[in-house]
Amino acid sequence: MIPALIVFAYLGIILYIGIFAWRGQAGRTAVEEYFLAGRSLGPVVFLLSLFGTNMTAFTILGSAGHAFANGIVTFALMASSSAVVIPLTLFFIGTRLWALGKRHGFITPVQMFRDRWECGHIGTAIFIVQAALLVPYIIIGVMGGGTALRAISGGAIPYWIGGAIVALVVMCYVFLGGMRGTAWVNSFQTVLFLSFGIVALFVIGRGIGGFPAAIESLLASPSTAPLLTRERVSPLFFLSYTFIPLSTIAFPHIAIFCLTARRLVQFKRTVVFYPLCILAIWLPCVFLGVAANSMVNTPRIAEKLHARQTLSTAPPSMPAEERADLRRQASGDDVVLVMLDWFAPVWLAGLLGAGIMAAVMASDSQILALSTMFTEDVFTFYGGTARFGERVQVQMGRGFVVILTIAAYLIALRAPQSIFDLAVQYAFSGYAALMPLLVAALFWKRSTKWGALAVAVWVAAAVIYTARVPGALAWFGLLPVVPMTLISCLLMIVVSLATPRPSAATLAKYGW
Amino acid sequence: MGAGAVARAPAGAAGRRLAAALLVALFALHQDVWFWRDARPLVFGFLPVGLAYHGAYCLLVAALMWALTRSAWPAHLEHPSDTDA
Repeated sequence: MIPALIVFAYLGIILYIGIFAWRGQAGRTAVEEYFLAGRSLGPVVFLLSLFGTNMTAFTILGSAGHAFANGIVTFALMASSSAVVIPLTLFFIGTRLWALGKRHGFITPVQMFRDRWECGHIGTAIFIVQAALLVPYIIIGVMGGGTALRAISGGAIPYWIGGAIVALVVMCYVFLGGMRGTAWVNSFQTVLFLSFGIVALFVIGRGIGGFPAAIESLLASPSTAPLLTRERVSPLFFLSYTFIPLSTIAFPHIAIFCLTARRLVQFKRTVVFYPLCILAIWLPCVFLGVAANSMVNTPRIAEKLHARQTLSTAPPSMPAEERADLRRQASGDDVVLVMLDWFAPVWLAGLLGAGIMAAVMASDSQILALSTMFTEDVFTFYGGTARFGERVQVQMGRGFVVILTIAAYLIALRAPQSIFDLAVQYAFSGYAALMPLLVAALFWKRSTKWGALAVAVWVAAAVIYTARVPGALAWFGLLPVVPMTLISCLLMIVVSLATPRPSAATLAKYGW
Repeated sequence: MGAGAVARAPAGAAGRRLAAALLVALFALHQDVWFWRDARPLVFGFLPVGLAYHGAYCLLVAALMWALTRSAWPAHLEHPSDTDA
């Protein structure tokens, strides 16, 4: 129970940070302050919060679990590809979004699309696609909170209470602190889980008697030696994974966050330090996930290895339920928790548990982004702010945060997590395929609203299609994200060239 | 160009060429087929070479991003009034 108490203390701290940010808002312009922290974030908070916003439960738990099953390839597939693609997109796209937001007062990407392509309802269509892809992310965050709190308390806190506590804490600091509170909390969380990886590596390394012996034992076995190479994946499949991080800048919570920097120069440090932050957190998690395969004397890990072995030799006639049950047993999402439970002293397990909670509670930014999008792209666009004023707009945003969090919690209680795990995977592909919208809006003057509509409709159709038909669009062994993104680009080009361009006045506004 | 327009990058800047070259080089270096089937040598005695390579790759990316911010930084995007906040 001690780890759970430490985690509760942590939850209390982040709640206080949210309240503190709320107090600091007095006297500032309501809308920009609540939704964008007054476009005034400094370099350290901007870097830490942007990184923290992008790190989810998957980073610590899922990456170790993926590495447990697939080996070192996890790092190259997900971490080093992000380390190069995300800073480059921030450099080329994030900086331009910031400049346009500062100059023209944009708060969401859809506002910029509407202005750039002189459209109204097409912007609403893009909003609907963006919002639909973001919802599973929020639900999975609440689910992750419930699961992690149950695991950290050794089952003393049931899933439904854990989920409620996490949802309530997130709702409170987003409701009160808005973007400033969320950014401060994310910065604190980033520091916590950056420390987590390094401490966990040290504690577990000492516990298992040193990593060289563990790695040599893996190399000695034909069943585990391939985990230390990439021979189980094809170079083409590997290549297609580099498309996934393109989604990052297209996620509304990241694009909106780019507008919070006080100065352009804030992006400089962020793009330089971002790859280093990825290295600091992913390398330990992936390495520990792989090393867990050597812990055959740890009962819970031995059970997982046994389930994996049974699964690999199972006859095709094995019932689907039994196969799914074995997959659940073999899943490595909790290997880091198991290793800490085995090797770390109770107090340290509590601190590290707080680090895990920090990663799990990444849904705050998505909740705020969806609230921002709703109030700006729907409420304000259809005349709400003009009629009722900015104060009501902020109240509307806060009300949306409450409704959204409660809805996410209720869905998290009833729906199986596997559905949303899958939905999040589709969301990554969907957002990567939406990225051409940003590129076209910022860099191609000939792009048009009809091209943008074609991309939005295509992405919605492709996500539904790939979700319903297993293996759809996985051409030539590539992930579906590759054809989805390339077809988006093609549609933007062909449809734009076939339709009239925006007016000269609008193009001049964007520097053409 | 209107008063509120966001300036575009100066045409033909050497920074653009450098940025393009860096993009291609970084992408090629990420697809490291040369360590595909090798676990050894173990760097520091425990890191498989494929993992150590991609760890070092992250360091290289950070260094190149630093070079990019020095040589191709889009400073033209910042208007003097943007610094008033």
